[in-house]
Amino acid sequence: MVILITSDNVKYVVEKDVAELSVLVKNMLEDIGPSDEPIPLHNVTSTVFNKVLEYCIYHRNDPPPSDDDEGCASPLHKYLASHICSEWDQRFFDVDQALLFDIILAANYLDIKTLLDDACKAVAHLIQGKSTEEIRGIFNIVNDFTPEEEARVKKENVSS
Amino acid sequence: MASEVLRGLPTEILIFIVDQVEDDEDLLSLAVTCRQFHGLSLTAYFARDQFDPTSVNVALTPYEGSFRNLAGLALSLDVVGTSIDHLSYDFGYLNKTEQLIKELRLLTRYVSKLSSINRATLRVASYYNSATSDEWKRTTIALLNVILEKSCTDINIRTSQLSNFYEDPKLLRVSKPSDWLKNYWPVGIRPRARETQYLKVCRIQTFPTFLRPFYYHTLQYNSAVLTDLSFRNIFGGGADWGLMMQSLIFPRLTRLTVMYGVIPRDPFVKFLAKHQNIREFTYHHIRYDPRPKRPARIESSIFDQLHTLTTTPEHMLNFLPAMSKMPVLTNVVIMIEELVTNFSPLEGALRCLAACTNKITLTLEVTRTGLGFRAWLDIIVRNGLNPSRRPEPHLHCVQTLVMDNADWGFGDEIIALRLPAWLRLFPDLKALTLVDGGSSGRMGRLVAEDSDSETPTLLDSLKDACPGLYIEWRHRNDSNSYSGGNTAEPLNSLTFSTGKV
Repeated sequence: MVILITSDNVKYVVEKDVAELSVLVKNMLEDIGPSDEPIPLHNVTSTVFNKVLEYCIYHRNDPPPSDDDEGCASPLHKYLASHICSEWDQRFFDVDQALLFDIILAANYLDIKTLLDDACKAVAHLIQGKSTEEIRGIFNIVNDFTPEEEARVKKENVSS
Repeated sequence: MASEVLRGLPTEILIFIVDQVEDDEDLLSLAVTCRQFHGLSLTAYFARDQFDPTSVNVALTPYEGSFRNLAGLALSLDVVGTSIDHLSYDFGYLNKTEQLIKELRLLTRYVSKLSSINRATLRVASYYNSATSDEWKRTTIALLNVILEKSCTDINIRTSQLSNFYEDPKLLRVSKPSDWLKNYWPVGIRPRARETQYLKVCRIQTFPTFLRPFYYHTLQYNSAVLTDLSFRNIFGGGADWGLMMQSLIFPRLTRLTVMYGVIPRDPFVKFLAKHQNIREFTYHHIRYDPRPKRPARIESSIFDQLHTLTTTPEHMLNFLPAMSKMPVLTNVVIMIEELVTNFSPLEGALRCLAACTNKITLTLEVTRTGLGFRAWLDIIVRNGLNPSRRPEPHLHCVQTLVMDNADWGFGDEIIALRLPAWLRLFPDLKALTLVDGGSSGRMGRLVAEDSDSETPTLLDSLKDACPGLYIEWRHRNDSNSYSGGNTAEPLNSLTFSTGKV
């Protein structure tokens, strides 16, 4: 078992194989050696860590992501991986944007590649088929183009 | 809370997110939301196609059209105000007019953002259905106009082969080219106003009716600076071409190419008479319409400055002035395209060369459809190789000989056997270059692939058979092979590569 402490001082006791899905934690464990010292996670709150932990427990038995996922995965495999998102994952990422972004930040900090990929995919999914104006609305993006630039970047009606 | 949470994320995270956007359209929509996503999305967009939008050589030439890259380029802010050296666009094999029009519009939008384009090579489509034909013509000319406005110095316009056969009207029914601009200029596009002239090199390989007013206007407009002019594939519209040429004068014209076409002879002769500074003249595979009553040779004083001539035997015999009237001529390229085993025009052309006043480099270039040197050498040997009846012993002018046997190559044993005796007929030959290329397997190879090979190559046996003759070989430039070698440049017989000696 590994003891993890979030930034708001909540203590978690996590099974080692689950905790080691985080490369950050895994490296720290290797650095400090066998010890009962709790590991502080400075950049993650308990609210977010609950979600992260939920993901890690659910995916604890997944095959590890290969480093060269560009090279060896077949196009079909990549297609399936990107399109057939499990129902569980869909429900898991069905949260408000702020939490979703916090999950991304946590996944990045904790270095959990699959979670980072899946969460980014969930964000990308939000803009699927949306117009520029709709995307701005979804993410509260302020249009900072000058009128001149705006005219230049204006998207053609490209549907064929 | 209306704060921009998404953009508050670190850039590296935003890059992850952008990378997960799969659809091109979504990526472009995102690119238009704000500056930050503009940069991130377009970077990802172009990276997926390994396309470099900031390169000075922008090649939009995929087989299936360039819509994807053009859609990105058209809305990219990064390219605003940049200069590129070479823009090449090829419509590929698209046959949907709507798609073609869209591509041209996007390309026009992209080009209009650039600061300058030095050279442009465009292969534009020329088939279209009647419903969209006006739109298509207007879009094409709008694009060409925008390119020329970017201080373009060198433009090459071509299309799919022979496409201007089927077009209506066949001729512009106005006898003065200046009236073409009034009657046939597309609605909604203004001819370029007179400002600075840039265009030095103009290569035209398609001559459909709708482009003729544009050509006339462009050539007229740039006539004071233009130095290189090339026409290829003038099939259909020869009368209009003659009309146009007759009314143009280029004081600085030094290189002129007219090849493959049916043209009226007299207007072209008049054009030549007004251009006596031509140094390089390429003229071959031309037929005349109307058919001249007699094979009149052109005025002899026209080629006072000519140093490189590329032509076919027929034109040497029937059109060009005597070689003695070309006082600075040093390079002669003869295209050999014998379809039957009758080499008498070629031998007649060689006899003409005896009148050359300088030492010359003679290039004999078998074209793709030509029979090749083997057939010719066979006939020469069969007729007894009698020096008194051959043209070669009179060619004291030929010091350097370049032979290009097209796809046949020089791996043939018969050539190896017969070439030395023929070479010895040339009284003053000092150097020989064999140009090897094409499909190397067709007739074997000129030199052994690996140096350990025991069998003597053609090069070795030639050297043994012709002591005193400097022999080298070089590869034909394969980059010209695209689209059947549609480049207008003749084989440059002056460039000697560092071949194996």
